[in-house]
This record gives sequence, structure tokens and C-alpha cells, in this order.
Amino acid sequence: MSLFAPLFARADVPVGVPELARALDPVRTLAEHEGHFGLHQRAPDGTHFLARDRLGVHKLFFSVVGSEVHSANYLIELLRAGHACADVWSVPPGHLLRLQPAERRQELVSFAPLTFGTEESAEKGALAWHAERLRAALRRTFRLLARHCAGRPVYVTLSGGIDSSLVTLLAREYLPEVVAVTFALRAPRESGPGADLFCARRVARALGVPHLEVRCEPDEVLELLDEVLVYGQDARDFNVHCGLVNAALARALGARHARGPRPVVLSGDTLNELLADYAAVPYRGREYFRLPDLSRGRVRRFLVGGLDVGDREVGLFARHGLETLQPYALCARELAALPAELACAPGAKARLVAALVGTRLPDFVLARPKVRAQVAVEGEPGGTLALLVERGIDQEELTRRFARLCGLERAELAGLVRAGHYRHSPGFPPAPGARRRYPQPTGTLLRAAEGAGARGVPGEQPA
Amino acid sequence: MNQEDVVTRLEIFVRARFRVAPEDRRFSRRTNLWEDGYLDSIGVVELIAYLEESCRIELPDEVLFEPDFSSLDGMARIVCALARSRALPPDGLSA
Repeated sequence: MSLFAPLFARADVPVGVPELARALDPVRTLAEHEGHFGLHQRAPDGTHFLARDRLGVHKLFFSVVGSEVHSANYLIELLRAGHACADVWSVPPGHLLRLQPAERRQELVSFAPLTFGTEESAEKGALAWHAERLRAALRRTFRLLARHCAGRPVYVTLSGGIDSSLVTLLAREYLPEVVAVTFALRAPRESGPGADLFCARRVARALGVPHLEVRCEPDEVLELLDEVLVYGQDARDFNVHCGLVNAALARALGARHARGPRPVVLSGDTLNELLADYAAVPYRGREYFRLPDLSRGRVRRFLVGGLDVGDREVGLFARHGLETLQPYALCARELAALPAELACAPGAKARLVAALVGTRLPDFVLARPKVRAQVAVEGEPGGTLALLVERGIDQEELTRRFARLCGLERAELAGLVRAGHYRHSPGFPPAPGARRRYPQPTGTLLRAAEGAGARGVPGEQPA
Repeated sequence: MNQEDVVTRLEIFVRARFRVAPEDRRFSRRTNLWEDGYLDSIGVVELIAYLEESCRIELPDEVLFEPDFSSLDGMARIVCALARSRALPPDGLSA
């Protein structure tokens, strides 16, 4: 069974999901493909193959009960099915997990290790060389997207920053029709568009792309909080704040496409992790989104590894029937290979993008100072960080609420996520302990969202 | 690599980096750093980076969920086992 495999490709040709049980070498088969996927297939001999894409864009949880392996893309689905949290495991990103429950055997193999570029000084001419490799990877990716998205509505989430502007540019060049979409939170006293919306309008106009603005009242956004926690699968504030933006966009786009072909959303996510382009954000005397006290080149590996946890895009858009694709994640090898000096030094991203597309992207995009798109800009009409802070919803409250919604104790939650990784088992998962049914998750929005656009279902089917 | 050296250095690092008060009686080399709230997701990344740099090893993500990777004593055991498996010289612990 393919739980969720919207894009699976060999070179630049979309292909069906490979049957791992029939492959001579399943690890090599997976290594030869690119895509976003969380797969679970069962071979006739009872072996289970579970695999997850290189960066862990898609989530994949499972629980072993006797000879059965139950899996789902959403943790909540296994919990609702009665699996104890302690019996739920995750497949690490870029790994193939082979389970033979009858023999209580497990084999976990990495099929897509990422190699990060050196922290030494880059050689002369390295930027041009890496830009050419990355240009080829993006070309391959967008040709693939063009085939994959044919006949379907395509949106690009556009914040007006470099990452999403580049995706918008390439989408316009490779896809026949694309609409840019931007979230904006209405301020209590409307004082004109915020910088993000203003920039997004400028970018869309400059690139000649139709632009849809999704403007929300603060209370409309707060209504989405429970959904963001449960289906964004993380309580950490930086993911929740972004998740609120995506959930608002997902709700609006889902409503526009209640019928017809399934829409696709392209996003600029994961580039910030691959280039370590993050910084802590001060707001009202406090610092949010603190990063480990390491060099940018060093922290890159941890930021990318941390993509394991959180489903702030794919999980939330999928709840509203939308497929999300992250072009940069499909070029992860080339981006990770960039030497730290070319990836993470101040101004490196703008130089890289300029080397990639020259003047096809307006100058003002490359010159714009880095901001956390839509979530936190000091002095702006408001972002989702400001909204939650003003309403007293801090990290402690998010964690407490997430645990309650999932029917978990805090300690169980702490054992499920560590250092940006979901729990995985180094050996065959221990036999389920005394299983108990957790209380059903609560929250009005959660109930309203049930059954809408589910990504995967617990259970298994023959491959 | 000497396990006592590793755990001593680890304790100094954790006490300083995470501001563990000298009079904190809950804290010891056997304390579960996760359950007792001494480590968060940022802190553990800094701890891993420190271990990797000072012990010249690479800690795979798999160690995160090993039961031993909960206390200073356990972490030192993991580090020493990893170093032994990679046949580092005995002075592999750098300042």
C-alpha cells in the first residue's frame, strides 16, 4: 500500500510507485528515485517495507501488533485506532525499514544519505559550478512538476521573500498556468498591507502571475489552532506559527476546489533549512525561535534533520484535499552539497539565486532583508506569532494543548520527539505493552475536520 | 577514551550551558535529562555538537532514542563505545 506518494520520479519522468517486494535491491531502487513519499507495502511472504523520502517531507508512523503492521501518515490516526503512544514508531527520513513480524526481525537502511558541503573556504569558481548543478536539478524538477501537475490547478504560496519568489518564477516558466497565493492577517486597525503582502503583490505583478490574497481576521486564524497542532503534528512554536498561515491558505483553497481535479500547492519550504537561513526573532522584549549556538555551517545538518518532525505544509494542505510539493526538497542533494560559505554566509542566498536566474527575478526581491515570512515582523500590522503572543498562547500552552488533543501525557510526548526527530526503534519494536485506549481527542475544529482529505488510513493491504 | 573523563567534561558543559545551579540536588550524572527538563530540542543539539567536537566522533541520529542517551553516565558510555568502535587513540578527547 502506498500511504502517500504523490510524486515519484526517475530522472525527470514520473513513474508509478515501485513494488519494493519485487525489486532485486529495494534500497537501490529507492535510491534511484526522487519524490515525496511515505510508503508501506507488504510482500506475500509477510515482510513489510516501509520507506520515507529523503528529507522526511512526508511522515510515516507504524505500530506492530502480532504479525500485523499498522501504519499512517498522521500519528493521530494510530492513536485513535487504539495504539498506545509508546507502541508507535516513526520511519526515519531517507530510510527503508524491512519488518518481518513473524521472526521479530527488523532491518533499517539509509537509502538517501545527504552529504553536506565543506565548512572550509570555497574554491574560486565554486559558485558558478554549484549554480550550474543546482540549475540543472531545478530544471529537472520543474519539468517533472509540469508533467505531474498537468490538468490540475496549481498554486504557489508567495510571501514575497527570495525562496517563494524563485519558485513562483520557475513555476511561471515551466507550467502553463499558476496562481500565486498570499496570506494576510488583518490588523485590529487596518493600516494598509504589511510588508509581506506588499512585496508579494510586487513580485506577482513583476512576474505577470495572477495573485490571490487570503485575508483573515485574527479569530478566524485562531480557530485553526487545534487542526494545526494535530495535523501539523508538532507543538513547537515556529511550526505552529507557520502552520496557521498554511491552514488558512489550505482552508481557502480547499473551499475553491471542492470539486474537480485535485489542486497542487508549490512552496518554497526547506530552502531555509538547507541553507541554514534562519535567525531568532525578537518580539516585545523576548526572543523567539532560538537556534542552537553553533556556526551556520554546523547548524545546517541539524535543521535539515529536524525536518523529520512537523507536518506544517503537507499535513495541513492534505487535510483540505490539496497536494503539496516542495521543489527545493527535490534538489536537496545539490543544495546540501553547497559549501557553507556559498550556502550560509551573510548574503549567500541572494548571491546564489542571482547566479541561478540572473535578472529574471526583480532586484528588490534579492535586496529584501530576511524575515520569517508572515509570522513575525516587528512593527507590522501583525503576524501569527504576534497574534498568539497577544492571546497568551505561548510554548507551554501549545505543548499542553497538543498533548491534550492527542490524549497523551506530557511525558509520553517528550518520549516521542527528541531533537527534531520522531522516535524510531533501533531494533525490532518491543512487544506492545498493556494497551489502553486513549481518550478521544477533543476540540470542535478537530471534529469538524474529521474525514476531510485524509492522507492515509491505518491498516495494510498486499502490495 | 576514558569514560570518567567524558562524563566529567559533559557535566561541566551541561552545568554551564544549561545553568544548572550547584545546589540543585535533583541533578546528578544519573538524572534523566529529558524527563527532568534539563534538555530541550535546542539544548540537545548543542550537546551533540559539543560531544562530536570534543570527542571527535559523529553521533548518528539513532542514539537519540537509546535508553542510555538520557543521562550523563549513559551518554558517556555511548560516546566511549562509539570511539572504541572507531579505534580512536586513547587521547581522542580533546580540550
